[in-house]
Amino acid sequence: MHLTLVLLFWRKEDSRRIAKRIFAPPEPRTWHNFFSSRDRSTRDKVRVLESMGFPPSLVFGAAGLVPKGSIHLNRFRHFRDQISYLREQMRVWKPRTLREMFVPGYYDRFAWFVAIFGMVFGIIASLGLLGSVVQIGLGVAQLQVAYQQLDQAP
Amino acid sequence: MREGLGIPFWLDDELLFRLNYGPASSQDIERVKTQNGKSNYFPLFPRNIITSNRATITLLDRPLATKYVAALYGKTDTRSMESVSRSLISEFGYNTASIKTYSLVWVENFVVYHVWNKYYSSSILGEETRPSMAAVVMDMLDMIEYFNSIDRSTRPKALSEWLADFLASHSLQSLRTDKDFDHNWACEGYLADLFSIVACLPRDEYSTLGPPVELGWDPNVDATVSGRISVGRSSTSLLSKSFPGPEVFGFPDVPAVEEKGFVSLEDLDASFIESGAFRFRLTNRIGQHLMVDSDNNIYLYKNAEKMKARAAGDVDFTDHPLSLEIYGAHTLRGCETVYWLANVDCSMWVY
Repeated sequence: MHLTLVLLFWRKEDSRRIAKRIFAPPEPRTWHNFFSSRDRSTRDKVRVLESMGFPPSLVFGAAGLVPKGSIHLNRFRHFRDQISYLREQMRVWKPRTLREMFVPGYYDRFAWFVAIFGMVFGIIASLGLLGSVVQIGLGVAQLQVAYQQLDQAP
Repeated sequence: MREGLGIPFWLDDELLFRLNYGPASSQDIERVKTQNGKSNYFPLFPRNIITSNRATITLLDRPLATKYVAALYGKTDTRSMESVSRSLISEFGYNTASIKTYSLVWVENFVVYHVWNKYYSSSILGEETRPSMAAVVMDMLDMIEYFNSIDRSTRPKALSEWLADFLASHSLQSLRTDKDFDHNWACEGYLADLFSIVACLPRDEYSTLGPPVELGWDPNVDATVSGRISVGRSSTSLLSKSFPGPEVFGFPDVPAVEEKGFVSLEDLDASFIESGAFRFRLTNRIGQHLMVDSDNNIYLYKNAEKMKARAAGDVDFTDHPLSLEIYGAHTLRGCETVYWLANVDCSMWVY
């Protein structure tokens, strides 16, 4: 259980920030919290560790939570199936709504960038085509007006 | 006993003896169930703790309670938060700061509100008489011993099969002896409820309430409701869960890993995951940990137990603590069912 949390949240600074946001959201702004803010970073660390189920005594040695070397699936005994299933879900994720079209997939992001690039150019090309059609329409209208004026000329 | 509060009605040795070892009259039982003419169903214990802040109503014979806790957690358990000094606990009260108190309250509530209810497993426990509290607890002790004796390498079987085997191999004291009864119904109802208490399971997969799983009520729902107890339709899924194994705790059916174990998980990182479509959400269901739903949410289990609240006595013991601590030294760890849930050695994290 704890190793799964270490795997997800304790290897990168960005991930630790996400852990803090999820497990220990900011404390309410009270006078007590304001005056006891001297050790805020330590207290925040304790709160995050506690709410993740780790002993708060690890606060000064929390870096030791991370196993050395690569983490492989065989390190997990009990959540192996869940982790493998999660990886598979990430691998096969596909956008289902228009909004999700703009969310990159997890693997093969190059294809996503190419698709977005193509989409942007497609939109520009479509707009260009639309502009051309409008221009032709306007041109035809102008031509008709010109013919009408020529016909009316004495 | 605090000064000026008087001696509570239940602190009567004869009443306690009758409730524990029989024969208790229906008046005795009503007296325990109600207080000041009001129904005391559900928060019997917490109400007393919260409103009057006096000792809890404790009915179970002390030596038996000690034996039950020792059977569940062992005598050398040092994991529970015994943060309240022994001198502050009355000789007749339970330590509200201890996680073990949940298991005792669940046992007592089960006997008072289920076993002693005429609409609960009446064909098994008896229409006219009901077993005493000690008889039920002794059967629980037998059940603990039985499940504890199951070898962890045994091929997993459905819980209903284990319960049928348990019933066939033991002569249970709480079951009626005057008439034959339906053994299947006993396994799928009363004994399943007993197991849920022994295993400290939540009422169902989606509930924050404690055990029992409420499978033993008589099929006549109207009778159950008229018994002033509102019980929803019970889930029978527990009976089909395999044991030993984590399935009993409501783990979903996840496809088994087909990949080799040396697959690197470097990319399984929160910041990378949040750069895509998935977002993290907390859950208090251990079985949902790391599961993904159709809204692209990944669930993470969070211990919901509030230690400080429990130490202050401001906690409802009819709830489930939804904390791994309750399984920390649980005897069923021998069956590898709950062992891994909480026994994490910090030194194992560093390689």
